[in-house]
Amino acid sequence: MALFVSEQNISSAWVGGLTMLVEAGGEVVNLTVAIADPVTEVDGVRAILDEFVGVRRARNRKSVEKVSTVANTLFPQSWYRESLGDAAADHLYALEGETRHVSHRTAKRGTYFERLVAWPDPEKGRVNQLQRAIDRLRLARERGEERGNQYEVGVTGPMDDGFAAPIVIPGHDNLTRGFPCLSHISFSLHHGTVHLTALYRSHDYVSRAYGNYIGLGRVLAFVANESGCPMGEVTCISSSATSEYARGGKFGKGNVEELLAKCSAAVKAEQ
Amino acid sequence: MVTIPAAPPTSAPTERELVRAVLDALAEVRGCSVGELEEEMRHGGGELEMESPEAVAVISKVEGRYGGRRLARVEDLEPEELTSVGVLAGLLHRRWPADAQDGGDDGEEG
Repeated sequence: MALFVSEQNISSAWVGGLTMLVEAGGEVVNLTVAIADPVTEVDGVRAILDEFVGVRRARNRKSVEKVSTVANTLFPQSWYRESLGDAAADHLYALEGETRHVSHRTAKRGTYFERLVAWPDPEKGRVNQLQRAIDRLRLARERGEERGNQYEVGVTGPMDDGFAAPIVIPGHDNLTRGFPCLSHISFSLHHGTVHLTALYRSHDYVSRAYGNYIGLGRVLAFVANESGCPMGEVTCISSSATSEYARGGKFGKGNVEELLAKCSAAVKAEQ
Repeated sequence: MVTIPAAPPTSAPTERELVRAVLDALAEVRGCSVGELEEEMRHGGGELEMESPEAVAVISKVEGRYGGRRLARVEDLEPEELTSVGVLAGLLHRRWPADAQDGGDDGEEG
């Protein structure tokens, strides 16, 4: 049965999602998490998660990735230099292209950010899906259009008339686990505000979801900033989500429950 | 801005030269002047922190500056190894001149 969480910021949303997951026994389908302000965190929660991850990485760096690394695979914020003004987006895209051969040493199947700004179309070459969404949103704003979801399209490849940004490459991404877990991103214009919806086919909630929410928030903030549209909310649908202790998960139920208790306390302390 | 040599250097650079190469590249990544970064370094006691995506971009530029030589191994690209100008320059210096081998790791994301 689907579960729905609606929270104000990344931290409270992640805590809400993990709470529901644990209460449901550690695995659910269609976990839907809406984040009203997707660029705001509760500092204490990130610190607790960083410590949780850091202890495990000290033993084995391959065991789990840092929250910042997960977020950067969706959007490397430090490459987006807003001080460059109109040249900032091109600078960001150029860095992705120049750096791709180094990034591929650790991520042989590419990164999410690469799929977003340089999707490999067999006929058209590399397609910059984010810039195309930005161009269309900017045009809609200039025309005074307040709704843009009539442009929503399918998921098998970048479409010429859409706000959607598919991640999966048909015929290429055949693994049942691992990259890419994120299947699709779409943007919707509603009352002149741009919102983002993301679909994950499977979600390792403890090790990935928090960094994913940060990354998705950055993607939305970038698109909003470049298109001139106010930023709305991020909604993330996890078709399948796990708290990573059921069925041989890597963290152990007690560890996850302790992590959740600490993070819940940090969120409550902030409220 | 960076001054790219007409031909890639063939002799091993000193660590100090690599610090300069890293700073030149970081200035490009940040879209600022080397002088601004040097000023930041002075305020930081001779060290300047970097985000790991910045460091990866710097590695790409420095490798290009030295003729496309692969200086960073897979294990070097962990965020714990990419924290500052000095740490990265030291790492690249240690890797010179051996051609780094690809560790064959197949990184995954989710």
